Amino acid sequence: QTKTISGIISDQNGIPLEKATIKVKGGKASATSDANGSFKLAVPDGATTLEVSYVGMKPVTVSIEGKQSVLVTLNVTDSKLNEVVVIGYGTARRSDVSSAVSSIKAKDLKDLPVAGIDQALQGKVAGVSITNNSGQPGGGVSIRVRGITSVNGNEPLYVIDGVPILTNTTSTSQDQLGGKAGQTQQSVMATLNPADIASIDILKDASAQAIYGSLGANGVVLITTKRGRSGEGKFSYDVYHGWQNITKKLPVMNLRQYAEYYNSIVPEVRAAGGGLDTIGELKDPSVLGKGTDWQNEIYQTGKIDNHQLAFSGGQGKTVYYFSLNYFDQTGILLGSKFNRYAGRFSLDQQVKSWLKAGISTNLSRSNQRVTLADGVETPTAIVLYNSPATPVKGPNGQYITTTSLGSTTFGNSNSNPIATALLRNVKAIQSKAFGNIYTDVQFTKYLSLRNEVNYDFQLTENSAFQPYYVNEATNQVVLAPSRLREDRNTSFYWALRNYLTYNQSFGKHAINAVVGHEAQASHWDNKFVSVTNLTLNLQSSNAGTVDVSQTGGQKGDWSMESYFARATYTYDNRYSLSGSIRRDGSSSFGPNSRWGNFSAVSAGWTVTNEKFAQNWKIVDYLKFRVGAGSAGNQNSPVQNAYSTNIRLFSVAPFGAGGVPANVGNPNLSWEAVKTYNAGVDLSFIKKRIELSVDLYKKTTTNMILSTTLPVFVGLDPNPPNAAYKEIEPPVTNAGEMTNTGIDINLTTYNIQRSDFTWKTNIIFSRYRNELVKLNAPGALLRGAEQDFTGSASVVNITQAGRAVGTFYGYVTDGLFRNMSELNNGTNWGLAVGPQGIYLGDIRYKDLSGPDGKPDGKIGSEDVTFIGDPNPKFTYGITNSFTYKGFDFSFFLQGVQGSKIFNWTRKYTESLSSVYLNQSTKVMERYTSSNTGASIPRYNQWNNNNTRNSDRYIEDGSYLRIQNISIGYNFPAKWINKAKMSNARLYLSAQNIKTFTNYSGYDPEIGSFNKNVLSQNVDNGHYPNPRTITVGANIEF
Amino acid sequence: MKTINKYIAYGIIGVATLASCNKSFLDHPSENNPTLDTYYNTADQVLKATGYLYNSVWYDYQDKAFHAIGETLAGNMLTETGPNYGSGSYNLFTVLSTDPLVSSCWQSLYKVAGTATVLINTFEQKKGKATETNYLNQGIAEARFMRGAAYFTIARTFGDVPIVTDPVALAGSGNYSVPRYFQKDVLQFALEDFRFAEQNLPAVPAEKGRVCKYSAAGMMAKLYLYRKDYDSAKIYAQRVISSGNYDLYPDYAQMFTSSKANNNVESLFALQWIAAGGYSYANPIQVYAAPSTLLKPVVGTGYSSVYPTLDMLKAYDANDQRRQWSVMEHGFKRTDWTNINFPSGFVYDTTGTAYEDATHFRNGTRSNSLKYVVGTGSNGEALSSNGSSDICTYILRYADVLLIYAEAVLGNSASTADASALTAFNKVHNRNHNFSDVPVTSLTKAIILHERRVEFAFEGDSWFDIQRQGFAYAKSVINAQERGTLNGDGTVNHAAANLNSESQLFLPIPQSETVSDPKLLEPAVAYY
Amino acid sequence: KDTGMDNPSANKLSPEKGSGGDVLTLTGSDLAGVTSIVFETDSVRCLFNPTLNTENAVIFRVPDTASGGQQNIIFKNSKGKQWLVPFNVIAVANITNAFPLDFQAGSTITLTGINLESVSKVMLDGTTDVATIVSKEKKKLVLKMPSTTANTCKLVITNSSGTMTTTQVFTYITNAYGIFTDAFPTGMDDWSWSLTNSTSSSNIIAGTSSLQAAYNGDWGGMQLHWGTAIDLTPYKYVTFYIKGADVDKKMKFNFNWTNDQTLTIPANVWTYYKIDLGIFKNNGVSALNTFVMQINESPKTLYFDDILLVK
Ligand SMILES: [Ca+2]
Ligand SMILES: [Ca+2]
Repeated sequence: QTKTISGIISDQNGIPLEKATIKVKGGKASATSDANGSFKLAVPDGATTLEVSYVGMKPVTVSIEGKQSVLVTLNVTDSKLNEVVVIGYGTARRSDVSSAVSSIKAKDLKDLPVAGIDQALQGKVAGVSITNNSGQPGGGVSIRVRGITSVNGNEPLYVIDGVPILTNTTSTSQDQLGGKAGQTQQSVMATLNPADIASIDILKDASAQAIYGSLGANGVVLITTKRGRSGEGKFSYDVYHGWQNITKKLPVMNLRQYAEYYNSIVPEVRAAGGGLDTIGELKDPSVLGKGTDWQNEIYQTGKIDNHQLAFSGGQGKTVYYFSLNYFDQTGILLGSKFNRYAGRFSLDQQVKSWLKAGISTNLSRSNQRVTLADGVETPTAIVLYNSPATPVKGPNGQYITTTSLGSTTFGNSNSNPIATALLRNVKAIQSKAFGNIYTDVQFTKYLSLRNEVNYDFQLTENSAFQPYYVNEATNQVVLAPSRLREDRNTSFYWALRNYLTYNQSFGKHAINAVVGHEAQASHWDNKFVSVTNLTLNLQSSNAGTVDVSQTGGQKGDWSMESYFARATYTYDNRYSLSGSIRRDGSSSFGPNSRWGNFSAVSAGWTVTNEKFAQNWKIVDYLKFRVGAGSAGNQNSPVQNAYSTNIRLFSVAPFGAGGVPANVGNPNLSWEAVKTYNAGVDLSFIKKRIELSVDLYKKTTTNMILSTTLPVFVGLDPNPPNAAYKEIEPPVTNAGEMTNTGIDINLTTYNIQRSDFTWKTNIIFSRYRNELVKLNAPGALLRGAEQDFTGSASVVNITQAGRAVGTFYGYVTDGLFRNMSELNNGTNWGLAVGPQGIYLGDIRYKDLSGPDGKPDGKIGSEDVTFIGDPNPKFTYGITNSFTYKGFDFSFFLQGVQGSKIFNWTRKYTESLSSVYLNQSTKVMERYTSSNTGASIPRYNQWNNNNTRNSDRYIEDGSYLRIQNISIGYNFPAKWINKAKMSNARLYLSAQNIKTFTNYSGYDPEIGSFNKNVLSQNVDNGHYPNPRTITVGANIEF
Repeated sequence: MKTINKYIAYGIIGVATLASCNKSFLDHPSENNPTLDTYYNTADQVLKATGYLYNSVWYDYQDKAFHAIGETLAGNMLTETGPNYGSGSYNLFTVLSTDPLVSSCWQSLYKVAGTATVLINTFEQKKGKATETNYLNQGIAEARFMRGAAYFTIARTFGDVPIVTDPVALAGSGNYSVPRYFQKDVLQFALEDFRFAEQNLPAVPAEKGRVCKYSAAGMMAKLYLYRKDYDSAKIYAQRVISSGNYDLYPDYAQMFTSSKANNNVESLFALQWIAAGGYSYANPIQVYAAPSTLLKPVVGTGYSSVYPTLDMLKAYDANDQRRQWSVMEHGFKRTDWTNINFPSGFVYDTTGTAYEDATHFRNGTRSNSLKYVVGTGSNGEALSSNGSSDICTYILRYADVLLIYAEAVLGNSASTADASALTAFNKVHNRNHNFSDVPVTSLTKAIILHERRVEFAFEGDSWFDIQRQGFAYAKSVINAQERGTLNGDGTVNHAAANLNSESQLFLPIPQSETVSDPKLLEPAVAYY
Repeated sequence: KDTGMDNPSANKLSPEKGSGGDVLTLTGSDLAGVTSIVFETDSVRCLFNPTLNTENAVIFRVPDTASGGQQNIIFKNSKGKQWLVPFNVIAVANITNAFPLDFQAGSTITLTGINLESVSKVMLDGTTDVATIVSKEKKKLVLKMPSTTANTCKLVITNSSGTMTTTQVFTYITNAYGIFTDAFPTGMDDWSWSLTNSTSSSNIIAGTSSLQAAYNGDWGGMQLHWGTAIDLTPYKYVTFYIKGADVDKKMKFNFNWTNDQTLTIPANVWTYYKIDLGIFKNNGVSALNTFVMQINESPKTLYFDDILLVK
């Protein structure tokens, strides 16, 4: 005889749980809850207890004695082992996963006042290094999954609810307005509201990535956004307000110090036979003030405001979620801003018992104002060497550039950094709509089909404007000419995806299989116009003269078609085996090599589920994982590189025509990445300690490389670089790079009492990058940096046998301190003498010569590798505490063993022009009366002392108190009166203190425009700010 | 129920697969441009491609290296001492292999050669497929002229250098090491290109401003002179003179300050600039050479980064009007050049006390070169946004051919009174009644070299005239020059160059190149 | 809050006297926020660099245009407070322009420049001859010239601050050979073509008349011829004034048809030309036979005066 028990299963928030398993204890009867969390189960009369379980939740037992119905609440388990992992085209339980996948939940990223989720992940995921490339609001962030995969793009594939985000966010290069370009690569994630994110899963090894085939090799970041849950509607409001400031200022001279410096240089120059006069105003430094503190002028207190409204809920067969977000940030550097309006909507409907359908839409509009930074003539750099004697504005209240003391001119004649920062208006406005529509068809209990259409529409409106500005009193030209550049780029992406999922357990066997097909295509269209001499400085392309050479358009499209399959077999929760295969066809390659295959296998053995382990005392869980697989990259630096394209030009002396744009390579194909991964997951002492360790070796072959030829070949020597309109050399598949590393994730639950908990999470990542070979012996890739005045010099070199982007320069050997050192027979490259090479100048080591041996001469052959910008390891330590209503977290993040090329010192310690302001350190330079100095003498006659050398290489290691936050949850009895279900107040501080020996603003430099070939070069860098935030989360 | 579901579902899959099964789904040739297969099938397409070689490919050489090498090394101009010009290293002969202009000169000239080479090879391939090949041959000849001009300049600037004739093959080879070849072989290589051009280009250019048979003959004469092959130099100079197609332009000053004189009767080969094209298309010389008082209120430039030396100013004979035709000095006035500060005409005023203010300008020699300075645009000259212009840069003009002829006739003699040589020489010397039409009656090497210095001052070629006389001569001339500047009170802050090694006659190969091709550090080898 | 400008108090100005361009340092307290510095005599405003102004000091330079003599310097700050500091400006005369550049006994010369109001004496350099001061203002000085023995001279000007010598050189017409002063000399024939020469009394530099040259054909020429050539040995320069037509004109000028010079004659104004005779002498012209002024293209009327051969 049986009786029927019914009930509803929900989570701790009351949200019904679908597909929870309900079993009779000691019996065979079982049932699964439906979308409303309800179930019906026929149980034997004698049954007294039900066991209810759900993936990622702590199982519970419920007494049914004398009951017809039960309400069961399940709580999310803290244990990572039970969490659901998104693995691409499906999900899996963590315990079934045998590849390297890292997951992070929204709650671990809360309280961080960041524009984009990419920034929030810093230091949180083992094997994933995240660097802010700029302190610019909305600025670029580099994410590297397990080291440097390629010398090409290294950014992972972002997939948001199944929609791959395939566009970059790029602002207009500021050299359009004259001067330097600045960083143009901005954060693509900043257009997405981080508060809508529920969880993030990162596929780190090829056995996981292979399912994404030719797009997955740099890692795949799968972002799952929040969706509604059935139950009473909820309404939440999150708000925070933050203040930002610069963490430190560099010690450059004030006016008084500068006057002393100037006065001390006069006799030095005269002694060397040069002419330099004293200046009346500077003769008595004691009456001078501090002059203009240019750093004070350009850095301000930044502000952040964020408001988020979210509504969610559902009834019966319908659930919904929608949110609105407003984010507004003013940067610490004058003129830099970012704001975003975002809305998100999702609806899921159980149409039939066997058919579910849903839609989600994200709308956002972000508006970024970019201040010119990163480069020698950018405001960030000029403030360091501009004269403290020059005022920001003249007596008439208008900006000036230079000022004269007697007949000597001070200041930067070509720009006033404050005017440049404030008057230039460089904006990147992105309007974006993306989302998907899906149906899920449940054919049988075990077989379902998902059909999905994705779309991504983007309108990018970039502009760069500068007014004509003349100081009316002095007629000094501060900014000229007036100029406006406007770019409009529209792109439309769609994907159509169908896949079958088969999921069945029988006895001890469990099978999960996916097979599917995907087609995707994108079209983009760009138009740009430049106008100069704008009437009344009107910011309109109607108001000036069109610059024909900078006006035009381009368009393009691409498509991909793919077939994929994955199967996972698990036996008795002890052994699991998984395999996947994907076949991709891409329009990026020619007909010869359009299709590529990617496959992977991985296996897991859960030792603790073996009989012999049943009685292990200490170890609760032990699992070994091994995997191998291949994934690809199809980022070609040149479009349609498989054919020789003709570049059409409109401006030429004898009229419009065409010249070869590139040398085609019809066989161009994928870049291939193979990863071998071995991991262990451990949990011991009653799950107090959880440890995951992964070892990997990642080998990239067939890198898509532009052939880098010597300049004298006459093709583009620095490909890909369309800017100079050189003929691009062929793009080939060549080279090999390896990354070997270890990722460790350790979580300890130190205290777990009902009123007090303390949890510690430690992340450790280490990799060693080695470029094994490039496309030719001796081939190299250069990372150039613009010199004091704009000509590029090589700083980073990427060459076989070294890490990517290794620094390159002369090796210093102290200073010349007596004449015999100068006259020891070595040819120092310049004649010995006061205006040549002389006492107090830097001595470089003669390391080589034309035949590879020291030749008694300082020259090109003596340049060598002088430092590796890649860190030895990175780490993050998070401690979280809860005490009654309070929560507290403390997050440290660090980088060890990286080197920085402190280019900034090339001007603050240049000692090459008496009119430039300098670091206060130059007071201790070498002089005839300070011959023990370590800083070289003043030398305005040649650039011996400012050659690229290890003089500028500094240790970039740091340990940063990245975040401290404290929050308070108001007790339910208080807030219920206000009909609130939850209310939390918090205070958070970011980038609080950095322990480092680095002498610049900030050891977190990153890569210029995300390019791994030029990383950790500090040249007028926009430093990361310190942020203090107060915020509240309120839920009704 | 389930059967129906399946049909629906399979239906969806079917539609999806059909949509993408279309064969052309993955075909996306560029929507922006043709490809090699579909192009260079008409004479016009080839002609427009070679037209490209007269302009932006030369830019990085033209903007700064042109003066720093051709004029500053020669002692005709000083450069600013900022790092833009290698910290003034050209002033004092202390140029390093990391020097920015060493790089930009090398890169630009090899870009000219490389682009020309790609076009030559592309047209050669097209010849195999085309029925009518004459236009392709013309294109090859014009491109070879340009390549010759590039290698001629490279060989004179750097000495022993690599030669590349098939960049595509080199790129495919995987081994990019190329040795340096003896300078004489590089000159021979350039000569072969000119010779091909001389034999295949038309006698009259296809369009005004393009090179023709006589442009090539003139370049050959110049190259022969460099090799001291006076007989050949004379033959080819004579060939140009006898053509009757060329003459001197009567107004020397206008020739260098107005784009209206572009491609005039004196011009055999000139770079063609386009102000409307903006940066890298327009002639930037006045941006760097003009004083700020002229250009700064208009376009923000006029850097006076290069300006005449005191030695150069002294070199003009008292009666030589080319001084005022070539140099702005105090009191210089152009009523047709106006700007906000000079509404009734620009005046070059050096009486200020500071380096510059809105209306006064006082550089180290109180002078600026006038050549290729076209003013503020107020007289109708087109300017780009930074003040670059349309004016063509003369690489070979008829005056050069005449003086080459005179020098070739003189040959190794101490002096000559040969009538044809004197006629050629005096045509230049007495242009526009200069020296009151008083002719020179006997020629020596010194007279000819002096004439060349003042005639071609600031045109980027002077250093090669000194260099080709050899080290001893160069040393004696260079080290004796006044390369100093005037102090505030008008006294001279003396400076002199130190040319003490024969290697200083050539610039070092850029360090970035020797890094990627260490063979460049090895001794040169023979090409032929 | 102390703004550093509530109670300005000047302690010391150093130095206490000086001339245009000298650096002055005023020290004291509450001196911040200076918005204007004015030298009291004639209210001469001083442009200064605000970065050189602190609570305890103001550093500035004596303006080149400051008037000489003991006076106050008036400081004002952004709160409207004002204070005075005494200072003695040493301001010798400075002549930027002189007209005309030649003279006879009794003719007048107008000098323009600065610091001319206190001029007490004007002497002809190298002589003891003194000019009579007709009128003096800060920027203008009118002189009546004496007779002298000099052929040319500079002027030595003394004012309350000191003595200076002009850079301008003046020609004593009486000691020069006049090709035209108020009339053509005897022994000269007017061989001009496409040109009518006459005298004018309305456009003159000196004396009673100028030479009105009405060119009436393209490439018209003034050709003045001497049957007996004038030996150029004693003469160093040829000088003359030309008043331009309504547009700029080019003029070809030579002696004896040798070594053509091109002059640009600005429109509507008198322009002074001083040409070194070396350019003719070095080309074999030792004596003047023919004086040529040939107009460039379309004809216009121009005026000449004081065409002189100067020793
Ligand atoms: Ca060496
Ligand atoms: Ca008279």
